[in-house]
Amino acid sequence: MSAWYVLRRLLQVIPAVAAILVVTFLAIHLAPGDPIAALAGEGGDVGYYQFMREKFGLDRPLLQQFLTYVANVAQGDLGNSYVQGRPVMDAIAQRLPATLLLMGAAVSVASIGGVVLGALAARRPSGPFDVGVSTTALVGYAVPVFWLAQLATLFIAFGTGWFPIQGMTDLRANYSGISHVLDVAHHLVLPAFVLAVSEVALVSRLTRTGVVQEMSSAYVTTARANGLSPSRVLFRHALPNAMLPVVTVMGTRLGYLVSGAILVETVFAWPGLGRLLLTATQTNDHPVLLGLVLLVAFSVVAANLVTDLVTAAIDPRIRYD
Amino acid sequence: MIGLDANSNPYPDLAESWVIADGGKRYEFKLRPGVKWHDGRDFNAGDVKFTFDHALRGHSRTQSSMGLPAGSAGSPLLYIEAARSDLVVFQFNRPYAPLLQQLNVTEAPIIPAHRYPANDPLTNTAANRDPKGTGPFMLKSYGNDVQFVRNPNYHRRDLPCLDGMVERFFPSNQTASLALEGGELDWSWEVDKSRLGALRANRGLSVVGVPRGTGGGNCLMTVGFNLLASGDRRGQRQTNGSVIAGDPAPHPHFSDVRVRKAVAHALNRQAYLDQIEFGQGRIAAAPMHSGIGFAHAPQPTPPFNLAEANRLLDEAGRPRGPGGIRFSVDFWAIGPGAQVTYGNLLKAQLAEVGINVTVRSGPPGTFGTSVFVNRTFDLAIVSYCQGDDPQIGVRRQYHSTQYQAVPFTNLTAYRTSEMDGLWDQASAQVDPNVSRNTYRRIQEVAVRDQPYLWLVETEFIRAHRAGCSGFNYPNTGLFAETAFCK
Repeated sequence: MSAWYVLRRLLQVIPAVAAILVVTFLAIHLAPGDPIAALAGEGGDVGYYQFMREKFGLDRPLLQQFLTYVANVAQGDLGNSYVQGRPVMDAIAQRLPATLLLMGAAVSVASIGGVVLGALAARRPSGPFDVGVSTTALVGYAVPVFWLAQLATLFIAFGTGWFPIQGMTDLRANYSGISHVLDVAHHLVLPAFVLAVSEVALVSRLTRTGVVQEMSSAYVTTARANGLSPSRVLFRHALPNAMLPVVTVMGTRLGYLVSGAILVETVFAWPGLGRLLLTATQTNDHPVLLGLVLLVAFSVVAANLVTDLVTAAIDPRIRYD
Repeated sequence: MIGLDANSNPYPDLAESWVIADGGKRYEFKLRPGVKWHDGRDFNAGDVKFTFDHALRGHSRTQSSMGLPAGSAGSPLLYIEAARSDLVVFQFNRPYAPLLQQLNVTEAPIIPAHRYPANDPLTNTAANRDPKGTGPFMLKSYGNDVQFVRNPNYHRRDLPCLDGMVERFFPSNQTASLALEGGELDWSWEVDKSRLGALRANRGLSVVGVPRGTGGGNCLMTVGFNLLASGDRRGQRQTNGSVIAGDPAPHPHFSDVRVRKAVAHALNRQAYLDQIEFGQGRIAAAPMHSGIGFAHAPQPTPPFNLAEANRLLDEAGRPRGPGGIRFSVDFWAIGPGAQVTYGNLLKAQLAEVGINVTVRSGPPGTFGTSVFVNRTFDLAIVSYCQGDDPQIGVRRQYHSTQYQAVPFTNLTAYRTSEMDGLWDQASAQVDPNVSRNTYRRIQEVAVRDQPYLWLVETEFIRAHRAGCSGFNYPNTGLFAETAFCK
């Protein structure tokens, strides 16, 4: 993998981001819905509406609004939220850690749990464990995340009392230090689990299929003939070679995870970007919407780039010029 | 300035007394001494004048009835004068009835003039993000949660009882209700009505129905007919004050009062109350909410009668065509949420008389643009929340000057000189014993012309831990002033 390849991949990001900017700006601004109407609600008179429109530049031609926006984005300025009256960057920065924590935990659970379950299932294809994992994965992948989240709050959190029903922290306690960390971790378990379920299902299925395929390869037969233990054959030789499609697919799942996070954050009242996106959509807060879409788009592009690089790194057969 | 009790009667708050002079043209308010802003500065009459002159001109309910800014064309308000630091005067050019009902904390929260030296409360983001009031709680922080602490200098001695509050926002009522039941919350502003049974059965909780509230808390779920052809905006006042020229075309169906009456007969309003509101609230008996006691006058609204609905539609020349359909219309609602459910039920009920309804919905901004600005609708539902006087929140539905490209004004484009005259007449009738007759006549005319259908008076459901008490629920602005928790 050469430096030129990395540079070329980075340059490919520019037209992708430019296209994303144009499409999202037009989609958001041309969609029905007046942000000033959503902002002022029933509280504004005609003069106030006009004043607000001028204040946010919404009285100017769309092309002029777009060019101003692009120039500002190029300088790292995503504008000010219509609703919150503060920079979009601040609003995103406030919510980003919660979403990163939730998605990071979900991805960790999905990666580790999915790989382990898939590998164990592949040890005896069509055996009871394999059938159990496959069936559960099918159900887990098919269940809508919002419904699963509601079931989890109702039956696990509320029903057993083992986990909090809502939020990221206890409303009454004012923890700090390690107590705060444990409090957040306690609140994280259920939403992260819910968000991870479909990813665990996907990863376990991919891992299982890949490992079963690798186990029928000649090098595995050779390894067995050399007297390697079944576990060593599985985890040292077959599994790493089965990981390539898993890594590739995980890298493209970021967008799905974000959409899942919106629903999970809504049900669990988790104070992350998903809820910010939901609120911005309901209130036609264009700058926040654009900022979030750009952030997700950048993240997806970056994730794909990283996936390519990691794929090349873990598979010596792959060479880029 | 003025508190409003559960029956909308005024009582002293920041204004400790007042005098109404010159037949209702002049109001003099003596302010309570010793009141401090949260930053320690003195509250005075200049703050009151500043609030009305520079902030409340942006409030549609106040602006539309009082005509701010003072002295502008058509405004009944001549001026507001800070005569002394503790005396403020409102001078009108004619008797003005609803002022006392417009001065409670929800309709007219007074803001500190000294925080806005450039007279810029609508644009001064720095000051607005660090608000200072005179109320029982002071803002401590605003992040994922909003934290308030007790105001030690509150003008009502020994209040508030609580040391502070933490407010968390829930996008889902279901989660909030479960959290309350699970003991994670002390209090909830709204609950999931489908869990009302479980909440009421929980001995650790108190569940309180609030059928009305001061300051825009009297909410009527209202269906409006577009009396003009869908998308025709001629005659509509724009946000820059201009009016779109020309005579609008009437709606092909709903301009005929017989069709509107037929729709009224086709709707079983009990079903909305039972199936969507879970029995919380009451069937609306008049265009004015029963919470406005002196003005509310129950009217003979068309009863549920499918035979009469069909007869009226036949008489109006809308026979059934292929598939039994007479005509098709678009219905708009703010959604997702309960208003869309209202639409789905209305669609099913109107199908019984051959009216085919397509339910459309969107978030408030989309709804406001499609319905109130672009007027691309035939039927729409709005939860019109009325104040403590019909001039505050009801007038905007019926007065011709309120047909504007502004959300939640005159939805139907109903405009008659008869109705305008009645509203203007009632505005000047200071004695409620006199104005109630005018308001009765307004409601009779509204029923006769039927530009709207008022379905249900919705009821807010508040719930709190049984160990807490003292909430003043009808007073939406000061609900926690006297609350305490064991």
